[in-house]
Amino acid sequence: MSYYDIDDILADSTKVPCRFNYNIPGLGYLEGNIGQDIKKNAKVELPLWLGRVLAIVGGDSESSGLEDDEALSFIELITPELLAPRVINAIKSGPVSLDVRSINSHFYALAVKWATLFNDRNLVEVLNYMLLERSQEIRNHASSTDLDNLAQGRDPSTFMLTLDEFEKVIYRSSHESCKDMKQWMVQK
Amino acid sequence: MNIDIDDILADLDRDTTAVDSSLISQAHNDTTILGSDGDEINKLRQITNVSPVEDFQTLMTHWRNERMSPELLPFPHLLMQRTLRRVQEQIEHIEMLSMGYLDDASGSADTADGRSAALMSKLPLLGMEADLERLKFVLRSFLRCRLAKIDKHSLYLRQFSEEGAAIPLDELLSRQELEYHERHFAILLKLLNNSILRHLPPELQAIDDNDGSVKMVEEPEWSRFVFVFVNGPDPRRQQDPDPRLLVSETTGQQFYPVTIEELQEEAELAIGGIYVMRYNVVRELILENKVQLI
Repeated sequence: MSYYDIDDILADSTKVPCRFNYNIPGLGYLEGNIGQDIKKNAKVELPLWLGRVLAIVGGDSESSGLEDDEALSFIELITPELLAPRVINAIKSGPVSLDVRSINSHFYALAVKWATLFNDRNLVEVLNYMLLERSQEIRNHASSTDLDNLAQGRDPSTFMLTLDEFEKVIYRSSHESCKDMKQWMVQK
Repeated sequence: MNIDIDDILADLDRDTTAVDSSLISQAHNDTTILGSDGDEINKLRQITNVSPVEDFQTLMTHWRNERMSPELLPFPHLLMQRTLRRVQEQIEHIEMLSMGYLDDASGSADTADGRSAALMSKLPLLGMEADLERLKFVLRSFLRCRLAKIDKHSLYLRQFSEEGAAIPLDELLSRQELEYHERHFAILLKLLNNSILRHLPPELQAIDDNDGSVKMVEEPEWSRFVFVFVNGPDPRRQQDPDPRLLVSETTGQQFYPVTIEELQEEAELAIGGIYVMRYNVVRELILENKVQLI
């Protein structure tokens, strides 16, 4: 999660649905029609790096017409598809069989960002459970290295195809360490 | 009737086998941790008690800690001075010895007796060379590891030199590392400036901007999990009891209490145990050399 982290940058460019709380002139290009104004309640897909800032920073209260409504931010983030109740239920029922990659290739990074943004305790619990369950499976896959099979280019099992980027890093490093260890034990 | 005479025997042991006991009992010696809390007497004794063997052990500890810790640890100035001097001396020593072999070989190469003697006496030379290579490898790995960290945290380290920081930068880094840090940073800054930064608006040209949406100065990962081995206090320092060391009531074992702030939880690090802990929890114990990273 640092400034120069490529995966972090990629995760931040994922689009999330947002709804505008104000009429803003000139911002029509966010919707695709350049030169137009953006209307209140317009639904736009914005990348997370933009949406995250706009959801925190508030507009001036005059344009909204409400004096006491200073806290209202420019946009409102709508729960994206990757954290819909459907997905959460799927995680709860069986984290190992879930195809995380098809939901989003940076699922964990995004979910963590979302949970920090909204202080979502339930989401954190679900993620914790999911990570623990899946890491056991990753560990199993990483440690059972058959050196002969690996040399022939063994076909990866279906579980391997469901890993997201973060899990891939875990898998790769644990796999490497297991493989190196075995090699060291076998050949001097 | 049992009379416990262990202390009397220990006294006798110390007198008769002084060399051995000094080698064994000083295994966990933190001779050269600068700024450690040792008082004057302790420091004096530490300095008088240095030996190559324990210096090497201290170096190994420093090496392991440096490799596993997320932050850059203070540079062991005195230890490195001594070690580098010894490396130099050993190289010269080996060269002197091998010149002796040259003379031997030209003089008495014909007789079988002389040849075998030369072969026999080459074993120590081989041992010395291999040992020297071993020491040099550890030194090189240690320094390279530090350089990698200086690269990674160069922006963060600059904060140390700018403000009135807790540790001055010249204590954290050696002289050469300091030079590397400054020049490498200057080169990097020049590259960034020439390639992109000058095309940006002036308020976006800073590369250490922490007010934006993402912090640009990368701090060490303070809460990274590390494996630690609790080696306990120095066995020689029994006379001044460690105030941080507590004795457990249930098991009678000595342990260090640590607090995990995020969870508001107390944990006990029993001596001789291996734990997986967050780095910021055990950081002080590492700097005091009471636990080591593994």
